[in-house]
Amino acid sequence: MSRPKVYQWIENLEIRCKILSIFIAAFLLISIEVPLIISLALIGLLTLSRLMGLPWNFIGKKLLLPMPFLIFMALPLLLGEGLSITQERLEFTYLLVAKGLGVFLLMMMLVFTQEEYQLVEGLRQLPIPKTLSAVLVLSFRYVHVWTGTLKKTYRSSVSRGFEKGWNKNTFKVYGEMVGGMILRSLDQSQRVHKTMLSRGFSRDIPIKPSKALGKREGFWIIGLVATFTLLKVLEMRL
Amino acid sequence: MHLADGVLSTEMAVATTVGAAGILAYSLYQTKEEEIPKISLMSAVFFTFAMFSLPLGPSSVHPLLTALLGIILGRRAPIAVFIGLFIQAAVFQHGGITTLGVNTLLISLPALLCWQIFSRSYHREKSPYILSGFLGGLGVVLSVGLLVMVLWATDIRYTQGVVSNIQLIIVSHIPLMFVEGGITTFAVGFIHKSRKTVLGSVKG
Repeated sequence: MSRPKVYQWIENLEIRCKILSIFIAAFLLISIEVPLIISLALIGLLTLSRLMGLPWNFIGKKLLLPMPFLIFMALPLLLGEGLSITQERLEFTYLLVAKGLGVFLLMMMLVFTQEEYQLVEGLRQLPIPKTLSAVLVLSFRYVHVWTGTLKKTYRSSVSRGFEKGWNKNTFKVYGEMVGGMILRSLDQSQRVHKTMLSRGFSRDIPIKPSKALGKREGFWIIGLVATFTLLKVLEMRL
Repeated sequence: MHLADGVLSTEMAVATTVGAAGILAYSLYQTKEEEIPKISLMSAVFFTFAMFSLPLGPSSVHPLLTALLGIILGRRAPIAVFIGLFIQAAVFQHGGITTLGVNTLLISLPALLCWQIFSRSYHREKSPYILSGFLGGLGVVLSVGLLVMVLWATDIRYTQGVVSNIQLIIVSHIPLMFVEGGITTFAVGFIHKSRKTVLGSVKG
């Protein structure tokens, strides 16, 4: 996953604090029901993204990703009562799109401001069950392995004359490809487990000691959560 | 298929997150160490196939592998679903974080039901083609049914209009029902032919 160069202050921010504050901010953001307030939140998030060092063109390109889904959801809502769009439907649709983009920006702040392994490590430092933590680490690894395997399997099928499409024959090829991958997965999982056992695995994948929380983390948590809480208070006053 | 952030009301997002935490706790209970690599690999398989979306009208749908996950992992399926969805949301921004709970439930609950039906009906001597094809389609029907219920409970506007969101979702998932049924049929059929023990090992 390629990511742009961001400023040191956000890159060095303690990851657990970043994860938790962004999750809380996301839930506070989706609870906003006033268009003006959600617009303020969006402007604030865009500004914050820039202050982190994320380039405008990168933000713009990334924000295009959820657009097809948001448009797909927005159009039937807008045109629900025919071609004459009501104010109430316009507001509802705007809120939906703005919330979607707002949380997307928050996720960008989480994902693109440190390396992927640091994010996984941070997640594991949270108080989650050991099994879940172990599955998370292994899955991250296997996702990269399997994406490559699937591409290779598909390419080799094409080189043997397979033509993609959706009919009985292609179903058979796709289905057997999935079945084969699962069997290979199971065999591999047994090998992996034996290897892990031989190295002393007890579902306890060692975690790096977490960084101590400093002033910067305090500012970040208070700043982000307090801003969204303030917006909620402002919303209630309106 | 996955709901994005902003679609659900806060109450629904919180309720489904709590629900997903409950189902995860059930799924994690008494997990054996040797199951961890298997769950992780299935989670990666689920994730990989979910990334292959088929353009269908204004949206896109992708294989969910709901029934297949249930058949292979049994009660551990929700762990694979949750982790797969989390990686999608965190790394590829597909799905959402406030909707992680609801998306987990939409796939996990049908997967658990498919597991229960399969483990009670599968016999090693009989061909599993019809049963698995049926469950593949059923998994999609149940997931879409739950999605429709969630949207309906969130806001009535999702159901209104000549072409409502709910109508679009149902129509765009009809082909997926057949695609998923077909893929599950041949995937389970292949496993049945190659290694029957895998299918009968997860008891309901």
